[in-house]
Amino acid sequence: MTTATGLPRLIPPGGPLSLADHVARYGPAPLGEQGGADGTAGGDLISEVERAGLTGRGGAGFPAGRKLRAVATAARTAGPLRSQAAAVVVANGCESEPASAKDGLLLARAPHLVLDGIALAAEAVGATRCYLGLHADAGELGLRLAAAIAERERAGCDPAPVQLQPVPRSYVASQETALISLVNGGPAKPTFVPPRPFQKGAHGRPTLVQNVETLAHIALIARFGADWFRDVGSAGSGLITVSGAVQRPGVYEIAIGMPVGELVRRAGGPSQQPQAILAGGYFGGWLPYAQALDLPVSDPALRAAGAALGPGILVVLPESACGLAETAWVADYLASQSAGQCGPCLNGLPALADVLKHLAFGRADGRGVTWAQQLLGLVARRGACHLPDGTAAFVDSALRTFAAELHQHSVSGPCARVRRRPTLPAPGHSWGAPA
Amino acid sequence: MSHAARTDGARGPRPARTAAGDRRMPGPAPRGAAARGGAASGRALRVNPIACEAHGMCIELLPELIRADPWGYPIVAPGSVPDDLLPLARRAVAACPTLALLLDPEK
Repeated sequence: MTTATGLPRLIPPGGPLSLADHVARYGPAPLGEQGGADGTAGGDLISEVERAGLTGRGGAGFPAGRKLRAVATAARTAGPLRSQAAAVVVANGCESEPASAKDGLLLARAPHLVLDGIALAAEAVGATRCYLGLHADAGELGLRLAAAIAERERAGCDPAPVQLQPVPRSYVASQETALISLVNGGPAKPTFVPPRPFQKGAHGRPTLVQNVETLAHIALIARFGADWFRDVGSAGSGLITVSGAVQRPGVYEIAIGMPVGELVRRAGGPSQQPQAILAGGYFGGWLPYAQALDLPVSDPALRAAGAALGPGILVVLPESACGLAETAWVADYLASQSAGQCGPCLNGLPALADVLKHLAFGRADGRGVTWAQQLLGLVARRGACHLPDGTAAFVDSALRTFAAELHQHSVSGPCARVRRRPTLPAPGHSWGAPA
Repeated sequence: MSHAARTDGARGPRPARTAAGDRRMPGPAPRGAAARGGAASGRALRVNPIACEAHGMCIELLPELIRADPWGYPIVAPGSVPDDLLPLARRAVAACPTLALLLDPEK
């Protein structure tokens, strides 16, 4: 069932698996075995996930075991009535990062692995209700998942019902408190914490919000154990979306820690002369291509270099594009995605986008750069969610990585490449008022 | 979300307290407890950025620890509130019209 390196683990070759094929391939999910003698499967799933060192794959990289335990503990201790204490599981399959495609692919190809993960997590934290958040315009995928959920209901294999939760397509809608607000009948906008989701989330109950890839890993750790998980890579395996100037863009399951250069080779190598890599999506950062090649694809290594792994994103920027123009484009998109709730974000992100447009398309003078750097400090950590922080980190990495371009623009004005259409995806976005 | 156009160019639910010609540009951050040399209370001030509407009461009442950003929203000095400023901090918390300024309870 597996190749020599043990991969792929998550996305089986061939079409999507029916429930029967899924069980034939992976075996049944070890549900109802809490406290069983078998130490690895089901016996104490939370300890096993902790021991595996699994981190969340939605972008923040929070330890999955710690999150499970916080929710399980809160569910055991919260409220005088059992009905008030029962937890809720919200699986996040929205994939709001425009350069990510892995969650959609995972849900399409291995729906039952994700649904197993939801069931196992629900059992581990004591949840009585589960939601699977999906973009409202997911179309065909939504129908297929509804069919998979119905198939499982007929088989009676899940401890708690799973409900699809349509989520509007906006960057912050899949932030965990925004998802919870939506489940509670409110707008898909982040809320102020505390209370954090594990304390008081959906329906006022302790709530586990977990990315769908994380849940799929949990479904495998429950079956094969922490040692099996750790056997591959520095932190297990992971799904990485590779795009931009590569021959074969797509989703690759790799051993975490593989060098960036090797992953680019696996994607067929560069399709054009590359100049930089965006690692981690729009909350990640730019790295010069030559510097990025030898770095391991892992969150700690990429963070140390000034980027991040985020939800598993690598974009190769070709020499033919202008990094400053691409950054201005993304900053403009992110500013448009503000929920409009927090003053520093509502005012600061458009100001940041404006100064970047000025740097890319106007005159990259020192005053512009200084104002951009001041704005980074003015927006970071001043919102209810991480949109301002992530945007600031992204822009900061651009000012470092494209320092030579900034100098070039300041000497001789915008380069010819700024006229090229931006290559980075920004769904539904168009340039606002010209800078 | 749409808000009425503001004369000072900032966006938000209400006009910033500071007039366009009197914007407080980013200056040196107010000094925290450690820098002031006073005893630290172990309690920190926080802003709920969703609730905050830049009325600016806290900036007026506690300039020792809170300054305005270019749009009139408060920037709070990091760290714990010095003991001698605790009464003023409580007053600023009480004066906030949207209850957006929070003083962490004692740990």
